[in-house]
Amino acid sequence: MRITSSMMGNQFLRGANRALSEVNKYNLQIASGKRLTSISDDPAGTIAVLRARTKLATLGDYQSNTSTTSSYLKEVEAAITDLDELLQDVYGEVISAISGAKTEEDLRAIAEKVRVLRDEVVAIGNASIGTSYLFGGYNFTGSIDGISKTAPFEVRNGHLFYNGIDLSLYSWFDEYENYVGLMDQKFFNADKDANSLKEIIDKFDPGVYSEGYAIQQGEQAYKILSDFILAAENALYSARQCDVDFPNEHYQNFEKLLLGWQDTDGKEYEGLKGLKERLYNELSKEPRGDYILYNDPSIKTLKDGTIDFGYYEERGIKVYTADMMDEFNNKFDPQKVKDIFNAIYEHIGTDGSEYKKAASELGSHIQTEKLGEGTADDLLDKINTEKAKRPTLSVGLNQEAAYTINGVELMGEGRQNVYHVLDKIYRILSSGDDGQKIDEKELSLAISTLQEAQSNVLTRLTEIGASQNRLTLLSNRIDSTKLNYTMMRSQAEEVDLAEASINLATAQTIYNAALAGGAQILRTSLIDYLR
Amino acid sequence: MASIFGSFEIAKSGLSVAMLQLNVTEQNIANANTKGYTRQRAVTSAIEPNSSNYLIAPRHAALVGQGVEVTGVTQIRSDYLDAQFRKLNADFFANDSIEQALTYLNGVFNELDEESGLTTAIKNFYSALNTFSSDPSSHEYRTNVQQQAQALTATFNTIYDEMRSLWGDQSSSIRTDVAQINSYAEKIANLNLAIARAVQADAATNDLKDELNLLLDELSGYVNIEYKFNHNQTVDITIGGNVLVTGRVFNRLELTTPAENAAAIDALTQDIAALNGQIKSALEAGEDTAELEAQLQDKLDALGEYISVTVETDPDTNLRSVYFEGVALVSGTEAFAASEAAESKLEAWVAFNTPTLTLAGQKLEHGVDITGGQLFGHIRMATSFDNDAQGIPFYMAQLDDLARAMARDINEIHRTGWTYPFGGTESKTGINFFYAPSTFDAEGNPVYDYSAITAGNIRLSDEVLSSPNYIAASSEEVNLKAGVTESGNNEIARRLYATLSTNGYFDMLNSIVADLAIETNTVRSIKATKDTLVTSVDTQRQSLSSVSMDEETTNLIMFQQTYNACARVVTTISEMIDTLVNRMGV
Repeated sequence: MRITSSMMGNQFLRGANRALSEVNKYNLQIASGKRLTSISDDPAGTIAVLRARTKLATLGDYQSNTSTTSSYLKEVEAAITDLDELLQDVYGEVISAISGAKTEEDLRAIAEKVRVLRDEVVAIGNASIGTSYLFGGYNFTGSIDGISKTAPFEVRNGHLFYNGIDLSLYSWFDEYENYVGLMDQKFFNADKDANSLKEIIDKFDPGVYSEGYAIQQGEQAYKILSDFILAAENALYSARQCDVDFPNEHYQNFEKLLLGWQDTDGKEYEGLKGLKERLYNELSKEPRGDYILYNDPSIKTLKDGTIDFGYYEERGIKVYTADMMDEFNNKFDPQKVKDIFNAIYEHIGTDGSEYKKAASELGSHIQTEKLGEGTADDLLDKINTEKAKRPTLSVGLNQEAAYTINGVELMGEGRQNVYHVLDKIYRILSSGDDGQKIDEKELSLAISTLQEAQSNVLTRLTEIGASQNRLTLLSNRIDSTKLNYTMMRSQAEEVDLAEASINLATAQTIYNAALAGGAQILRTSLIDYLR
Repeated sequence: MASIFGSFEIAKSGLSVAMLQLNVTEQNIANANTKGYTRQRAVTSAIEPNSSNYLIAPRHAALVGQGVEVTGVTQIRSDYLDAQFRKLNADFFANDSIEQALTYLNGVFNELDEESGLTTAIKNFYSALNTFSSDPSSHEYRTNVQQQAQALTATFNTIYDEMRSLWGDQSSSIRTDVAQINSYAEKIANLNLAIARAVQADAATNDLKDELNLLLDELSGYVNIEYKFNHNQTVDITIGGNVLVTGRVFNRLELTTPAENAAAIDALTQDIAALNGQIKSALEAGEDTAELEAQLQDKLDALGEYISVTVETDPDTNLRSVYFEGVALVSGTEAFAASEAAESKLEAWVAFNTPTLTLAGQKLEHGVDITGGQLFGHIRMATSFDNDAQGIPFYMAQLDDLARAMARDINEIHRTGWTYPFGGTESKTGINFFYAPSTFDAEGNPVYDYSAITAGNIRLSDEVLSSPNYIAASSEEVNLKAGVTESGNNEIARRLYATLSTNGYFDMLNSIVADLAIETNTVRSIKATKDTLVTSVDTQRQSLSSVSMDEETTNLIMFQQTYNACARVVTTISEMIDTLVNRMGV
C-alpha cells in the first residue's frame, strides 16, 4: 500500500490521542478512587452499584427501626418489671394480713399500704418516653383539651378509665358473672369436698336418714348454702359497682331472693338468709338421740297402762311424756330441715330456675344498659379495639415489630385487671369500717386472683424478652446483609489503586513511546538525503 | 529519410513535456497539505508516426514516432472509495451526534453521585416517612417529611427542566443542520455551474472537482445523500429520492414547526368550533346544513396542512371533535389553544414543537428518507419515543411514568388516612399528598386525572404545602380531646413507607438509568466501529490520492534528468546540422 506523509501524520495523531486518553482515564480513576465516573462507563457495574445503593437505603431504615424498637422495649420492660415488683409487695402484705393475728389497726395499716400501691399502678401505666405515653396504645399525647392534659390511665369515681374507656365497669361485670357461676357451682356441681346443694336437698329424706346422718347432711347443706348466699351477695355487690340505677327491678328481683319479700297475695317469704338462720338454729339444737314419744302407739306400757320407763331406761331410750313436749320440740327435727329445704326450693326453684332467671336478667340488664352491648358504645368492643392497637415499625420486608404494648394488655382485663384486684383487696381489708358484707374469707379468693394477675404480667415480660431476642437476631442479620451489599457495591464501583497505578504507568509508557517513535519518523523524507 | 529538423521537434516535445511534468510535480508538492487535494499526474502519450491519414505519407518500413505529447492532467482518485467514505461518514456523524446528546443526558441522570440525584431524593423522602411513622405526634418529624417531599418534587422538576433544555438544544441543532445543508447545496450548485462552463471550454477542472468533492464529504456528515456525476462532471444530489441539487439548480430544505403557526391553527380551530355551533343550531331548526358542512371540511383540510389531526364525529349531535396526538383541540363548540393543549401530553408537545422537513414539496420522514448524518441524530434525539431508538422524549416519558406512579400510589393511600388537628382545624380525611387535578363525576365525587401529571409539574398538594399537619399518618380520626386520641396511630404512615418496597420505585428509576447507560454505551461502541471504518476508508483514499513527498521528489529527479537528456539531444542535433552544413562536401 502506498504510504504518504499525511497518512502517517494522521495515524500518529490518532495513536497518540488514544494513548493519551488511556492515560487520562487511569489518572481520573486514581484521583477519584472510583472506577465509574459516569453511568455509561460500565452499564453492568452501574446497575450493580445502583441496586446495592437502593438496597442499602432500605436496610438503613430497617436498622434504625430495630434500634428504636429495642430502646422502646427496654423502657417497657423496666415499667413491667416495676409492676411485677409492686404486685409482689401486695402479695406479701396480704399474706401477712391473713396469717397471724392482726388487730384492726394493723389491718388498717395494711389496707393503707395496699391503697398506696394501687394508686402507684396507675402511675406505672402512665409511664412516658419523651413526650409520648408508653402504654397509651395509639394515644401518644394523652387527651388534650385547652390547657389541660389527661393521661391514658385515669381514675374517676373509683373506676379505672383507659383512654376514656371504663375498664373497671367491665371488671365488675366480670366479677358478677363469676359469682353467678360460683352460685351455679354450689347449687349444681359436686366438688371434691361435698355434694352439690341440689343433690343434698333432693336426697334428704327424714324418714330414711338416721339422725346422725341427717345432721351431717344438714350441716353440709348449711355450709354450701352459706357459700351460695355469700356468692349471691358478692354478685349483688358487683352489680352495684356497675352503676346500676336505683331503684331497679332486676336488682330487686335478685335481692329479694336473699332478703325475702311479700307476695301480691300477702304471703310472706323469708329469703334465703332467713332460711339460713333457721337452718342454723335447727342444727344447733341438741339431737334427739334414741327416743320415743308418749303417744307413740308402739310404746311399751306396763300392765297399768303407764309407760314402762324402766324398759326404755335400760335401753337408753328417752321417753318424752306430755309435759316434756316443749323440751322435745326444742330438739333437732329433721322434718323441720326438710321444710326449710322445701322453702328454699320455693324461693329459687327446684332446678334453680328462679335464681338463674333473676341472675341472668340482672346480668342482661347490666350488659345492655351499662356495657352498651349491641350499640355503638359497646364497652367490650371498645376494649377489644383498644387491645388490638399495637404501634409497630417495619423491620424488614413484610415484617413488623411492635415497640410497645397497650394499656389493656399491660393491666389485664376483666377480673384480672391489676387495678381492680388491688382495689378489691383494699376494700376487703378496710371492710371493717363501712360494714360491707364482703367476708374476710374473700381475701384468700382474692389472693388467687392476684396470682393470676401476676402471671399475666410475667407473661407480658416474657413476650417482651422474646421480642428483644428477635430484634437482636434481626439486627445482626441486617448488619451482615449490609456488609454484603457494601462489598458488592465497592467491588463494582471502586478502583483497585494498585491495579490503576500500574495501568497508569503502562499507559504513560505507551504514550511516551508513541510520541518518541512518531517524532523520529515524521521528520525524515527523501529530501534529507539528496545532495 | 526523416527530416533532420524534424528531429528537433521530437526533442522539443520532450523538453516541453518534461517541463510540464515538473510543473505538475511542483503543484503536487506545494499542495501536499491542502485539505481535499488529489494528486495530479500529467498523462503523456507518444505521438504516432505519420499515418495513412496524412495526404503525403512516406512509405518506409521503419517508422518512428514524432515525440511525446501531454494528453491531459488527471487526478488520481477513486469514486468507489469516495462513495464508501461518504456513506460511512453519514453513519459516523449520526452516531456521534446521538452519543453527544446521550452523554449530556448521562450527566443529568448521574445517579452514581451520592450527593445529588433522584435516588438520594427518594431515599431521603422515604427515610423521613420511616422516622415519622415511629412517632406521628411529633411536629419535627412531620415537618421533615414535608421538606423532603418538597426536595423530591424539586429534583423531579429540575431533571425534567434539564431534559427540556437539552431537547431545546437538539431542536435548534436541527435548524442549524438545515441551514448548513442549504448553504452546501447552494455552493455545490454554483460549483456545478462553474464546472459545466469549464468543461464546455475544455478548461482544467481538477481544482473545481477537488472543491466539489470536499463539499460532498462535508455534506455527507450532515445528511445522507445519494449523488451521481453527470457526463459533464457536474453532480446531482438527492436526499431520500428528493432532488437537492441538479446541475446549477438547487432546492432548499424547508423547516416548519406547528408551534410557529399556532396563531393560524388557533384561528382555524375557533372557526371549526363556531361552525359546529352553527351546524347544531341549524339541525335543531331543521335547516339545510350542506353548505356549512362544506365550509367545515375546508377548514379541516386547511388545518391538516399544518398538523395531522384525527376527527371524530359524535353520532348523536353530528358535532366534530378534533384531536391532535390524543389531545382535544376542538370539543363540541369549544376550541382550545393549541400550545396550551399540547402541554398536557408529552407526545402532543413533542409533535407540536418538532420541526417537519420538506424538500421540493415532499415531506422527509425520519428513518425513511433521512437515515444518516447529524440531522438524523438530532431528529432522533428530539422526537423518538421508541425503545429501540431512544431519544429524549423516551426518557422524559419514563420519568413522567415514575412521577405519576408515585403521585398516584401515595395519594391513594394518603386519602384514606386522617390528618392531625391543629390550630382550630379538625382531623380530615380524603386529602391528597401530591397535587392532582380533579374533575367531578355524576355523583359529585372527585375524579383525579393523573395523566396530566409530569415530572415537570409534580408538586405537593396545597394543603400539605400550607401545613405539615395535613400529612395523614392515622387510619382513624385523630381527636386530641377524646379519650381515644389516635395521636400515635401510624398505620397509614407505615403503608406509605411500604410503597417503596412493594411498588418498586427504585427499580423503575434504576431501569431508566440502566437503559440510558446501556444505550450510551451501545451508541458509543457503534460510533467507535464506524470511526474505525471511516478512518480505514479514508486512509485508503489518502493512500491513493494524497501526495507522497518521497514519490514527488523522485519524480522531480526523473523529470529533471529527462529534461537534461532532451537538452543534450538538441545539442547533438545542432552539432549534426553544423557538420552537415559546414563540413559536408567541403
